[in-house]
Amino acid sequence: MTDTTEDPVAPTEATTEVPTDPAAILRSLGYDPDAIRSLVITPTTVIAISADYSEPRVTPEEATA
Amino acid sequence: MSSPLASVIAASVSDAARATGLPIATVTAISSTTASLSVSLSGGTLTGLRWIKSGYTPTVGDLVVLVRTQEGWIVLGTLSASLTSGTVSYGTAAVLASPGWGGLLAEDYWTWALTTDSLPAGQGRRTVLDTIDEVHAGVWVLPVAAAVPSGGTVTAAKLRLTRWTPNAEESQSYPEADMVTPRVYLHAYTALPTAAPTWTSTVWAPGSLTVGQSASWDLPSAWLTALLAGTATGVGVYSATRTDWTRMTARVDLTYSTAA
Repeated sequence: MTDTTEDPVAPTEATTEVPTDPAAILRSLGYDPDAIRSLVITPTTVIAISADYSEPRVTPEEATA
Repeated sequence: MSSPLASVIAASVSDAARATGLPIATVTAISSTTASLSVSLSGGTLTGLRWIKSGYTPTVGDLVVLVRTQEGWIVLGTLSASLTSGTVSYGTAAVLASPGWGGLLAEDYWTWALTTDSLPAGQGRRTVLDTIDEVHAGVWVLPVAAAVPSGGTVTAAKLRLTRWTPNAEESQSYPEADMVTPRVYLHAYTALPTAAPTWTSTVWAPGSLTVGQSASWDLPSAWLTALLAGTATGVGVYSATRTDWTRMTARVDLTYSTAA
C-alpha cells in the first residue's frame, strides 16, 4: 500500500468585489449619484458638492492686462 | 371623520411619499393589545399601523418603510443596518481668514505684512506723500476643507467681502470711489508672500461695494473644488487701477449636509 498524501491546497486570498462603475463607487461612499455634481477626494477627506449648488451670476473672466 | 391634525400628518406623509417614493419612519411604540405600531416621521406621528408579519419583529427605534393602502398606512418592514442612516443633518460654518496678508508695491519692490482688523488687505493704486505710487494686493488663507466633515456635501458656499471704512484723515489723503468692485483671485499661498502676487485663477469681479458695506456672492464651484482639494488655499484681491483703491476683509460662509 502506497502512501497517498494529498498535495496541500495553496491558500487563496479572499476576494473582495470592488465596484468600478462610478455610480456604484459613489453609492459605496454613501452618496446618491443624482444628488451631487462632483466629489473631492484627498488623503484625509471625502467631500461632495451638491447637485443644486448655486453658481454665481458673474463668473471669473479672463484677466486683462 | 379624520381630525385636522391627522389630515395634516397624512398630507405630510403623502408629500414624503411623493418626494422619496415611500416614506421612512421610526417606530416609537408597540401596542401588544392591538398588535399595532406608532411611528414618527417628518410632520408628526402615526398610530395604529399594522405591519407585514413575515420575517419582521418590530422593535422601538426601527427605521421602517411605509406604504399606503386603501385601508391606511402599513409598515412594509425595517431597513437593514447599512441603510439606517435615513436622515440628513445640516450644518453651517464661517471660514475666517487664517491668516491674511496685505502687500504693496512701491518704488519697484513689494512689501508684505499680516493684515489686522484696523489694517485690512487693499487693492488698487494710491499716491502717498504726493509722490510715491503704491499698488496694493491682499491674500487671505481660508481653510474651507477643514470646516466640512469628511463625508459631507457642500450645498452652498458664499464669499463674503466687507469694505473697510477709513477714518476722515485717510479718506482725505487717499480718496476712494463711492462704488468699488472687488477684483478677486484664487491663490495657493501658505506662507507670507515676498514678491508680486501670483494667482491660480483669472479675475472675478462679483459685484460692487459702497464704503462699509458687506456682500456675499456664491463662490464658483470650480473655486470651491480647488479649495476643498487643497490646490488653492484662499482668495485674494488685486488691482493696479486708481479707482479700485479700497480695503476689505473676507470670509467664506458654508452650508453642508451630512448623513446623520
